[in-house]
Amino acid sequence: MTTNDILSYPHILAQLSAEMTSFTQGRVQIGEDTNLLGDLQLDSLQVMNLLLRVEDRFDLSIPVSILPDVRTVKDLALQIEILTRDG
Amino acid sequence: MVPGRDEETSAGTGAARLTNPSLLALTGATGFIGAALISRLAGAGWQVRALFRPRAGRVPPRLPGVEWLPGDLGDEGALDALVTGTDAVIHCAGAVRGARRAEFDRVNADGAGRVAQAAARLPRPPRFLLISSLAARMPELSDYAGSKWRGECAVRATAGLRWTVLRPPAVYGPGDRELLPLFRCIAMGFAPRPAGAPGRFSLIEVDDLAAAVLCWLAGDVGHGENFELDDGCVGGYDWDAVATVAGRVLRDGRPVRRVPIPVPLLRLAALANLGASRVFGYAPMLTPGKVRELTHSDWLCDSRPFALATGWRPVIDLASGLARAYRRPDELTEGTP
Repeated sequence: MTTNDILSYPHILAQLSAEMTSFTQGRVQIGEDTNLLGDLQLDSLQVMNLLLRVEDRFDLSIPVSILPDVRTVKDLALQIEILTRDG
Repeated sequence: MVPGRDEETSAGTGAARLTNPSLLALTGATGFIGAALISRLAGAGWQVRALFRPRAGRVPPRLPGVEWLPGDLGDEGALDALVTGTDAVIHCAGAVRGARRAEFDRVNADGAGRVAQAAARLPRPPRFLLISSLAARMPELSDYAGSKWRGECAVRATAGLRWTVLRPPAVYGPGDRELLPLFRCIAMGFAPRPAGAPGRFSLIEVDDLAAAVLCWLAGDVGHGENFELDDGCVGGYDWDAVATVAGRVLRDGRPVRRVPIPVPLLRLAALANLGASRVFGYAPMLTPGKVRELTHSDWLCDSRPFALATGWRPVIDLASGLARAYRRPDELTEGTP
């Protein structure tokens, strides 16, 4: 996948959920409102590794400046939509 | 002052540089520190010959006065071509991640020695600057620290070389990957720290480090010396101080929860990560050696001797450095320090 691909929100959400389900080995039901810190039962190192996996999957770099506003899966999916659209 | 300076600069440093700029050789120019350094060198009008490892999809940036030389630190022919005709050589290449000692040594120890030897083989050896690490102060802590120490030893042992060693502490700034996870955590509202490891450490922003190199180039001083560099924060930082400053800058002061991680757990995670990295062949971020580095009690350093020798002064404190690296450009005009 390249950053030139335009991805729709539902598509991003589906990929993100799949990534998180695999990362948490199916222990957690992933939905739009799943909280990245509270609900995934991941420690800080795992959360950072999850971000790296997400960056690899979408071939993008997640800027630090968006992270204060990212709490849920939906927040992250919306940010990825913006990042892939703006290249 | 150093013997040889008069004959080298007999035409007058200022005039000579304007009409016939000095040529530098640089390794590691595509890395985090090297990239900051080469753009600053090019901006200051230096001619730079930079070694880079050709890789599929890697196109080195076009910069004025910069000539990119494809090659590898293991290739003596490439290193001879790199240093020929130069006035100074800066060895900035470094491996910061690896699963095995040999991976660190190949670049940090053997690479440094080979570049130093190439420089010393020239009829008029150029000045030589090794960008080492504060970690070299504690070579027994990790394979990384040991490799940096062995690199310094190889450079010091090179006959006929006028060398200087710089030992920066943890370096952060735009493009950094090593401290990025920490700042990402803090931006998300939690600050992990090794529990029960009351370590203090110094930091430096990458542009201040690049400025230090430019000062070393300008002065022709410091030969045969090791210098530490920091951002001038007396007494350095601890984890809590970094979380406080980073929380203010990266989260606009919204709360940051401290998350103590028991050191045994950190060691366990590092062991698992190291094992996985050896199996799957990636360069691990967290290793048992890295945990020993992270929990070491004293990574403080003092840049005053270097400042005295060269006139360099650090100007970027942690708050302004973090803002420069991680805030959106449109936010930087709103009175961020």
